[in-house]
Amino acid sequence: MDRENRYLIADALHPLVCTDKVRDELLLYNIQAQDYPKVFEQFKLICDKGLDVASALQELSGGQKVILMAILAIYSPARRIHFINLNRYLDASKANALKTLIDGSDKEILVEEDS
Amino acid sequence: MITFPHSRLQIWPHFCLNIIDEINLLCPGSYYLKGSNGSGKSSFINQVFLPIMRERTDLHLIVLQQQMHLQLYALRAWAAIYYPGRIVANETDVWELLWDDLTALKDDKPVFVVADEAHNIRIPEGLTHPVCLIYSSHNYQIQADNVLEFKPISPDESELRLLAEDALCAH
Repeated sequence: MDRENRYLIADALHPLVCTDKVRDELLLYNIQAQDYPKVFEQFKLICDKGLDVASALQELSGGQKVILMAILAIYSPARRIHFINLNRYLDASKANALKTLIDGSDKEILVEEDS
Repeated sequence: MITFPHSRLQIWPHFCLNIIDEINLLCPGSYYLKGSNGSGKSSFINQVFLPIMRERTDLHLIVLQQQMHLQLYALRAWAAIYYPGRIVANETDVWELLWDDLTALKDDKPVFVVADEAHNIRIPEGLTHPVCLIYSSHNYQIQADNVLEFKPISPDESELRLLAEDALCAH
């Protein structure tokens, strides 16, 4: 596949790669430091839970990990994102909030359920 | 029977779970863990329930992890040694493999099954072992005798209650 047409794959079956701090995932997704507050604000808006770079990933619930994955993907430099199984671990209100976020993004986003 | 008394548990530095009603898990029995994302279901399973259960030698324990890709890899490796040729590709395969392995045992110890975010649970018929099923899921439900509700009262705190019997009809 042409490099320009590749998608960032974000699969909720394994939402996070790192196991220590939120900082590690921010680095992995190449989030710019000035965008950290936006990521945390968006997470707080959807999950009603505060995060910072030193927050422990293991303290997040399964659904919160999925939501963090989705927000990180959206704020990453990737222009195309392919979300898989996004709603599998989410309750209805969180799934709707995430859908609103995705719909409002100017990136090219595919959403695939039940892979 | 496994009992969790009324208590306030500091599960994480920034998360506390209040067990409002004494919880008695009976075997046989089935328990649906109800609650929104982040309400403490998985924390209860992993930080409270499983550490107790792993100390017990008078029962069998089957655990299906929530995001189970690492468990899948581990069981593939295990199956390659003990069940060569068996395909372990997804949650259903893991489930069937664990049951088949369990039913080969010659004892009649009770079995506690914990499925965090279950998607495909079928308790085989004709088992000699009594079974207690404890499961959570946001989009899949099977008949459960009891509902344990996890209700956030703040971002850092949830309450755990055993719902009344009449609430089972409404859930």
